[in-house]
Amino acid sequence: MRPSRQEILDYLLRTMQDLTQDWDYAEPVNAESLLFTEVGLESLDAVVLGTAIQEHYQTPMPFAELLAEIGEQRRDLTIHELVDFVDLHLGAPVPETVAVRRPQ
Amino acid sequence: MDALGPTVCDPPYGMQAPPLLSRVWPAPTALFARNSRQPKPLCCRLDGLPLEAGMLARLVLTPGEEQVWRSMRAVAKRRHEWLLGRAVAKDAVRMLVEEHAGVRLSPLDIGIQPDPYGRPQAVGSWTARLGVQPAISISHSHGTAVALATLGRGPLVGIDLENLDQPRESFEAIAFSPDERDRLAAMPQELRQEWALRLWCAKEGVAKALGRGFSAGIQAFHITAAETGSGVVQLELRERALDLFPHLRLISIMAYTGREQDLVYSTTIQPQGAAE
Repeated sequence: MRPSRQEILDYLLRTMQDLTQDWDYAEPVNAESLLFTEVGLESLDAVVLGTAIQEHYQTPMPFAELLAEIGEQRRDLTIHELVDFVDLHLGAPVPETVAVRRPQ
Repeated sequence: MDALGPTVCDPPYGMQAPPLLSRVWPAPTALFARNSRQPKPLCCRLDGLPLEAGMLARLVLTPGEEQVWRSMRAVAKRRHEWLLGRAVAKDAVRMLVEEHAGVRLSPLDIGIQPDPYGRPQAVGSWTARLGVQPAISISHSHGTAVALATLGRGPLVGIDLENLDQPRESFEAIAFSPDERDRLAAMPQELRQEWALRLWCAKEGVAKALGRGFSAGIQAFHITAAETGSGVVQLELRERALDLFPHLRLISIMAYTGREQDLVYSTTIQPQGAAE
């Protein structure tokens, strides 16, 4: 059964807290937290997170393309946007705000 | 003092320069230092904040940088890394310029500013006055910051640093293509974790050297060879990276990787013109 957006958010927040729990400077994470500037992820952390999400949902998702897109736009990504991305690739209708570029 | 602020021509300039805070870290540049045809690169390292953060900011940041740092909307970890990265990069530039031109700069003379794509650049009126333009790259991992710097005619430099001690779940499915994963799988089991990180560092170091990061995609930086004996990794660009750098088609780009205790690093120094 496809998870709800709330379940995806809960999973992402738990995963993010696990990922950052032993960081000296970690601060509370919420849906509007920015992954790189506010959660403090490095690029490899984002890849680790993407792999964990794929494995958790047993579904391949174009994380490399997502990271490339935000890199190209030189912007950060909120956990809320990441929920949109995961939800989209688990089969939800496409929201207009999700930034995803498919491989060309 | 001129319109651009204090310069090396303002005596007693050297008297005002605070001591260096970083130490030279020779390992990441060892391979390049042996190449006598290129200017000697320098790598500096700073393990943790040497002073209270606000005090360090006042000591090493220009007024403009300090304003950026103080108004930065970022978690403390990120702000500390940014500050530490500036401090170590300025030390690397100071050491290089003193060695090359015999002039001791102050960190306040050296601005570290991102170019339009985010690559850090060392700026200041001293570049024109002394006829030098350092190329720099900065990396940090869990409290340690490193900076790679070199002079010469426009080389592109990239350094990446990761901590092997940091527990990492698998990241290979996203970071590596199937044949790159096969290359890792063929390595002795005891080397795999370290080399997965080395190959990642090699990709990120090259991406930083070329100045566009991973905007072309992680797998557009493709590993074609990895020598466990020498630490040398060869990469070539694919897919969207070739749209950005068409002149690098079929060109092998070398990254030198290594490990010191729990730190894994990769260093790339690409000759002038590589990112035209």
